[in-house]
Amino acid sequence: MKIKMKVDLLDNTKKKKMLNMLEREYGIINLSYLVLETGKGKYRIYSGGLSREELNMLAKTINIEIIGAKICKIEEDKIRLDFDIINLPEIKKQINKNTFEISDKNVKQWMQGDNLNVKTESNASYFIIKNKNDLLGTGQNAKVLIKNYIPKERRVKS
Amino acid sequence: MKLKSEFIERMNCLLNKEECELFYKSLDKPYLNSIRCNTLKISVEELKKRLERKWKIKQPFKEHPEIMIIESNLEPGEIGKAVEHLLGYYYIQEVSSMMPALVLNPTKEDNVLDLCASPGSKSTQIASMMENKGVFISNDLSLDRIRILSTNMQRCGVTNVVITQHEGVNLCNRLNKIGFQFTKILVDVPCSGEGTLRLSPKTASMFNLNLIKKLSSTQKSLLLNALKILKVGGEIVYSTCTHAPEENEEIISYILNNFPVEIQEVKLPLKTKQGITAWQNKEYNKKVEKCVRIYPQDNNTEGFFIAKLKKIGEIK
Repeated sequence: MKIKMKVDLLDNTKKKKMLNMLEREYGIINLSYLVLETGKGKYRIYSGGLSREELNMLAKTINIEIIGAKICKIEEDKIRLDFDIINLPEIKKQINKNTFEISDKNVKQWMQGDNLNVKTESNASYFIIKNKNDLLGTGQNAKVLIKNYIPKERRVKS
Repeated sequence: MKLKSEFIERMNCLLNKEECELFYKSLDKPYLNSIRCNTLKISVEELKKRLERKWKIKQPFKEHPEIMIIESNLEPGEIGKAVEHLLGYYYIQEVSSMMPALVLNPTKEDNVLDLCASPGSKSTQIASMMENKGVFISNDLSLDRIRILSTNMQRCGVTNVVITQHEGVNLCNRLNKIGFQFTKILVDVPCSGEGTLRLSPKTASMFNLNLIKKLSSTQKSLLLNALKILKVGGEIVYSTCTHAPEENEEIISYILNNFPVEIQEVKLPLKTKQGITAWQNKEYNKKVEKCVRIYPQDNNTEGFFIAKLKKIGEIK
């Protein structure tokens, strides 16, 4: 039988390690989801009612393509949160570190995919770009600019 | 809009003369710009407040405030390009297409299956109603359709879903073998799409009786096999976006006549017509009157058909 998606759920130790990174970088201390690793450094979260055992049992019977939603990508010691997940209230309310506020007039350019031409002193790898109550994706801290990481399909087409 | 004579003849049998005229006129009317607030990410009040800064917003149904109509004149693609849409705060969805999930009424306590889910408008609505909890499997046939489905689920922040790729009957058979059952199932089947003529005018040129016949057989099989993995006492909603009785009442009549199910009342915040009990030379089970038909002329929406069944005994 062909299993499309490997159900590789993180054990408590690995989940704690990820949580430590999330807390260090973004202030996130609680992740009340099952966490799955779906590829090198790619992680998803699942909040549904199926247990680890039930998910594994299902994966042996049917072609599971996707479980839950993408949450982040970890490369080396850097963790980048997914554009679509940061506005979920349970996650959004915890984010209190490494945010970078932009003004209303910069929102359009940022959402079109432009980098932010700002110099930062911060050692953060990534910033969460913020405008008022909206979290507008992540940007990579390149010291002399913030590199736009909004996925192409989420950018405002000019 | 150019309609095939066979289609016109059939509509003339389905509706009286006055209704027919209204139906044909409605096809040339501009459609409503409707959206549904994604309550997984934002409250209805907050979204409304934001959107009212740029658009005139109407909430046509008091009991479903998440459904909004944008009454302003819009540039092409304006609703899709808005930041609120890109952030997943709302989903662009035709009003009548929101009705099947409302009829299913899933909660976080349910085990739910959306059997033919792509592009995901109803699945994202279901996840929203389940508050990202409960057991939820969303299935579709091809990888291309799964990609669209998963993109929409991700944008809306759906975290409680398991997305599977199977031909619907095959999925039901596999789940049946391991005794996996659901409390609620949506069977929104592939159909001839006669109800979507305004949004998809090319459907008119594709009208074909053989296609309807072929679809009818597939739909019957999908509904029957879905019933097998529904718990006794569970509910199934069958829907199409077509007016063809062969794809609607005929399927429900067959199930009512042969399996332990009860048809349920369908209450909607829209004007609807009851299911028809005879078509051409066929008499249907009288209880199909409880099905609802949504016609474009009645609410300025697309056309839809919805039936709700409750399973009252095991199916061998």
